[in-house]
Amino acid sequence: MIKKQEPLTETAYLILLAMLKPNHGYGVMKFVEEKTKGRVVFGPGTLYGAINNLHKKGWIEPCPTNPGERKIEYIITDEGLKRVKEELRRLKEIYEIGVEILKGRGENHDKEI
Amino acid sequence: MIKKFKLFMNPVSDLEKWLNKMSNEGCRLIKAGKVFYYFEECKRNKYVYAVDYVANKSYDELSEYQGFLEELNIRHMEKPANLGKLSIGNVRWRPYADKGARIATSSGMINRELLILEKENDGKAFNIYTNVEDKINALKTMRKPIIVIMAFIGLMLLTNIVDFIPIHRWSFLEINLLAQRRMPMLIVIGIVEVLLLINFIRFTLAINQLKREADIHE
Repeated sequence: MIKKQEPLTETAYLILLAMLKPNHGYGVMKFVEEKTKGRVVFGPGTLYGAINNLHKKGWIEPCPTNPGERKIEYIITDEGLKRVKEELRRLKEIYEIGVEILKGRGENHDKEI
Repeated sequence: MIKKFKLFMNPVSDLEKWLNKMSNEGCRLIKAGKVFYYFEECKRNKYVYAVDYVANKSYDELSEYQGFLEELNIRHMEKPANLGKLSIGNVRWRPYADKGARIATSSGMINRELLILEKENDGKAFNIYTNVEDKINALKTMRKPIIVIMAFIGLMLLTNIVDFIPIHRWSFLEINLLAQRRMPMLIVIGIVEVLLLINFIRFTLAINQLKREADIHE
């Protein structure tokens, strides 16, 4: 039986990906801006809230910090990684549905993107 | 140093617009008081501003948030706003705040209702909240104190209006005379109530608009 999972928001999905290696707020912001070529820019309030929520859920955890280091770095947990992989499967599914339907109309959407 | 006096109907979004207009005129905010703002001259449009409402955060939460902003190279200034608080000496009660931030004492939260954020202008819009859900939540947090004050003032008006209703025909004149003295005060309070209602409606319309959008967009 397939367990139904809630889809992740774009914000949560991208933050989790950015935290596959230890990363802090500023690093996440830059990572996302770079990867999406400036399409997604997190506001400070949104990023702060999302990191806190992901931490509370246990999908990311703070890395041990060096003394004197002000910035808190986080890394993805096993649970977080599981969620990212599930989200990737979901995205693949809806992506393939889109391609299939558009192909049926004689449009090769694969080439367009 | 330039000192400016300014009052706002909506202390969050109107203040934000005004600060960006000032930046456009070559003024950088140094300090913000209750009604006075201090600027220094700088290159036009060098900085962009955004205003966050933080009265619902506890002392620790706010400090943590400020630390996070510093990580992102965002300068922040606290600004007091006379918004939805009841003061008794050095203790303030904010019935609408999150748990743990409802009672503010002088050591921590008094006069830290708004947080003005400043960053160098990179040509992009400066939004504190960038997804629909956060935007809705931010508006709801700002609407809460309005509801609370509206209820308090409404109750005050109601108890006063009762005095104007003649319960006994023979004492009508007497009651009326007593109540008459309070008329000017009641009118002022009535105007405040109407202004609050306008703000409340503005927030509610904005929230509903976003909710409709949330069905389609992330």
